[in-house]
Amino acid sequence: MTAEATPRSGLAGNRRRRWLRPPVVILAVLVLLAVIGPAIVPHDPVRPDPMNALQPPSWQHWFGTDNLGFDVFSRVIYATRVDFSLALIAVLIGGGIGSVLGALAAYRGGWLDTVLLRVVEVVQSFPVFLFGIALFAAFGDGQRNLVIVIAAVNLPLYLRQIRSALLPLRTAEFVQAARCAGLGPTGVVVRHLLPNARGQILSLFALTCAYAIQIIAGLSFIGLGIEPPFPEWGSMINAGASYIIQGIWWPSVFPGLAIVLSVYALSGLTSERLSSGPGGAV
Amino acid sequence: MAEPVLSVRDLHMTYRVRRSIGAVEEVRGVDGVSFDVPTGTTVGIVGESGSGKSTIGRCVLGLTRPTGGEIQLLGTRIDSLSARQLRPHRRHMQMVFQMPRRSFDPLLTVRRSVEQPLRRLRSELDADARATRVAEVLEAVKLGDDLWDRRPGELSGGQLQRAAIARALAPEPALVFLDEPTSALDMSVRGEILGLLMDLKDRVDAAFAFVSHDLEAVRAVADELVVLYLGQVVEQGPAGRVFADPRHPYTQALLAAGRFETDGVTLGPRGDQEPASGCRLAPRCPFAEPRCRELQELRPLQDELGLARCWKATETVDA
Amino acid sequence: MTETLLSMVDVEVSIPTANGDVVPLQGVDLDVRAGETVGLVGESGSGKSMTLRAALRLLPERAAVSRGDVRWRGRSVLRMEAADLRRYRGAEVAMIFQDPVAALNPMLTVERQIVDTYLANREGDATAAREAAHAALLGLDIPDPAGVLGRYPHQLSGGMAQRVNIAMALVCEPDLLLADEPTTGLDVTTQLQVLDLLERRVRDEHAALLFISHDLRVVARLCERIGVMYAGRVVEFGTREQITQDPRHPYTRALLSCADLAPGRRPGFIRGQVPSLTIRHELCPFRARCDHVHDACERLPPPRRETTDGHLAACHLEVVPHG
Repeated sequence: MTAEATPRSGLAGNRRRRWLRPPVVILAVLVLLAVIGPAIVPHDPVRPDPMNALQPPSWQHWFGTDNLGFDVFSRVIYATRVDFSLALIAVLIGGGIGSVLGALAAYRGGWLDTVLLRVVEVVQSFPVFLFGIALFAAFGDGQRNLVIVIAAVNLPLYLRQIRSALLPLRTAEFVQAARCAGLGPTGVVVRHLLPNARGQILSLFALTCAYAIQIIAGLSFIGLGIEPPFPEWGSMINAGASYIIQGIWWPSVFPGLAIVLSVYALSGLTSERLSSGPGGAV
Repeated sequence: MAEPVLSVRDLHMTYRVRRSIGAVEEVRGVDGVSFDVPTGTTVGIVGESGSGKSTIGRCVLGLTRPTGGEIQLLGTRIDSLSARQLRPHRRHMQMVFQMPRRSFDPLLTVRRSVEQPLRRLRSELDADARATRVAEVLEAVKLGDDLWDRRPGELSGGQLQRAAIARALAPEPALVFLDEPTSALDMSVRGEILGLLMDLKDRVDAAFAFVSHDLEAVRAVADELVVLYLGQVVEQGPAGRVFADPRHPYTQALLAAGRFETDGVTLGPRGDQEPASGCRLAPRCPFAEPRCRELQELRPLQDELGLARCWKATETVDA
Repeated sequence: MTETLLSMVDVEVSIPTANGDVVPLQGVDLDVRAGETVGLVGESGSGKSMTLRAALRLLPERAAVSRGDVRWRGRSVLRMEAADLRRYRGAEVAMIFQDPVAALNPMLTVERQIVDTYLANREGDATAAREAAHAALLGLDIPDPAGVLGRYPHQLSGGMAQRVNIAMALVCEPDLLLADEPTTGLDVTTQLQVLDLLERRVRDEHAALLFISHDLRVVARLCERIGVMYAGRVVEFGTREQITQDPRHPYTRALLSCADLAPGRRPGFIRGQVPSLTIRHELCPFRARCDHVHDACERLPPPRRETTDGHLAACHLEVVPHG
């Protein structure tokens, strides 16, 4: 039983380089567009102009126009806000509740843990899209239900991940020391367990946001979720789908590219380097 | 005579272990352990793996609930209290853990970690009073103040263990339980911590319980010795007497092994299961007789020198 | 003159990381002759485990020997081809590890593991392998070999598991056995038995032994020659008697006093902490903690002094004063 030699401090050196990687830059641009985009778009995204329908990309319309004469570029930009904010809210709600439940399950164990795990297993055995369709069929359409669907998908995911991240920490001596210091279960979870799993929580957050965007786009593509003419990437792809065969590619391809870029940017955040040091590596 | 700081009576911890499908065995990790820690003394609790020594510490500190027995801290019974009821008692007992690095939250500075017990357990102190107390204990353990605002990752094992001792002393407890405090440290550092404990013993009011498998380390600090084997106390008495004149074969073997004596008492290899009845050491004991397996013969010898759980201890046992 | 089996000459191992190199070995010199027992004592950060790994060319990912050589019977291990390396590991050199249960495959019985090792490294069929396994356990004083052979690792006690590991290592009749703190994780009452067993078996098989430990007393008991490691290099090397009775390096002397916790005396310790292995130490790495440090230590690297009877010490002092 030997002890460790004096270790170096836990922080890695080249942080600056880390923050300039492509996914980070792209994400920054996307977030910027989501925030200020709608204010600076060249054309009104919901004003149809049937005279100018289906025009290819030009200097006036950078991404061309769609079948109703909407400017594709403005709509893609506007939809950035829609998709991102919905994804974010839904993940925060579902993930927040899921994390707390997962932490409790990890720390308390016992019947609470068993019950939660069983419920999670049942919920996760439903394919996401069927789940979404069922929910929409039961409660109707719209953004609110979309958020509920995604939150419901994320809750069990976070519960499981946080639980398994925290489980090994439960027997860690510093947790026992905290109990000796008079901390109750909530205190232990909030002050010691969650902060020490923050690396894993952050990566999970990035990945589930990417996943959420895909779900939003997917559900809207099949007609649920966001209804046209409200700009949203998935419904835009759907609207332009029937024209591709005629060679009119721009109404569908540009929103598609936007989705790809968003998912790439978010998923690309999670790499070895992003969250090293205390708090958990990915 | 004043009541002891800690009084453990007939402590039991039984686990149910599944051996194979349909066969569940009850393992008695701690089996009827009793001992006292009088005020101002240091009790050394010695045992190897499977002796139950760590479990005892966790039961006393309320980290695990025992399956039976009584634990009294400063005269109050604490073994059956809920976590909430236990909290006001926690200020009287603190623990130092085996692995110093794992006993500190890597995200908190040393100062913050040492302060932690004060926030909950000495809530009458305001921030200034806490800061003063933290400085006081960190100086008492001779930890350089350039380290106080560092994180555990920047301290060595020995330095962290000092900080752990400081943290344990911060709320001015009546009892400090040290669970193998030097086992994870290098030999060149072990002496540092032992020397520190020897100094603190005299300067601090607390009583100490020092759990270890390292007899030589315990010898440096203990006044009383409790020797455990497979969950039972096999010998007990003043430390000096036990080291000079051990009466139980297990203690003798432990001492001989620690000194690398091959001509001392040696034990046979460890078997798989505890014997169903009689003395637990019998399968390995060089002095064992058939009588040793019968329960009735197991009358522990208890006299003014202490306890020895061996009927043969009434006769002189030659090493 | 007995043949030198293993020879490590000025071995430096470095691991590139984001923050610069970590250099766990900074010039290790070591040799093990046929049939002898050599011990390596060192604390954490001394590089003793890495030395064994370098000997077997089993370095962690991205680590490499950046200087020096490891030679087996005169041939360079570092330049061995795959086939020779396979033969080297297992048939010529075997190793036992600190955690005996973890070193075994949890899915296979004891017999199966010993048999597999036998078949991989020796000529012979399964029957011969099984007989050898049985004989090996008998030779380790295991009273019920058949019973133990049928067990799985998690069913073994620490001492028993370590005996199994020793059996596995010796069944291939290696010329050299490497042991990485094999008794550190065992109970005190078991340690001595396993040590004696190891010594006896190694002697019976005429194998050499390279045994590392943080406990000087254990090494002193078991090994004819002892090397003391500090900060990635061997700072003193000599026979058991030379090291325990006439240490020539202040670190060795300090270690001896720490190991001896005589009652009544204040426990000895070494102030300060082990130096970082992220820099290559040109000067003596112990000078910050040494009670006998003086000017020369701050200016020049310590010379390697060797006496006529083979007692080596890397220190400016010729004789270490007492106290």
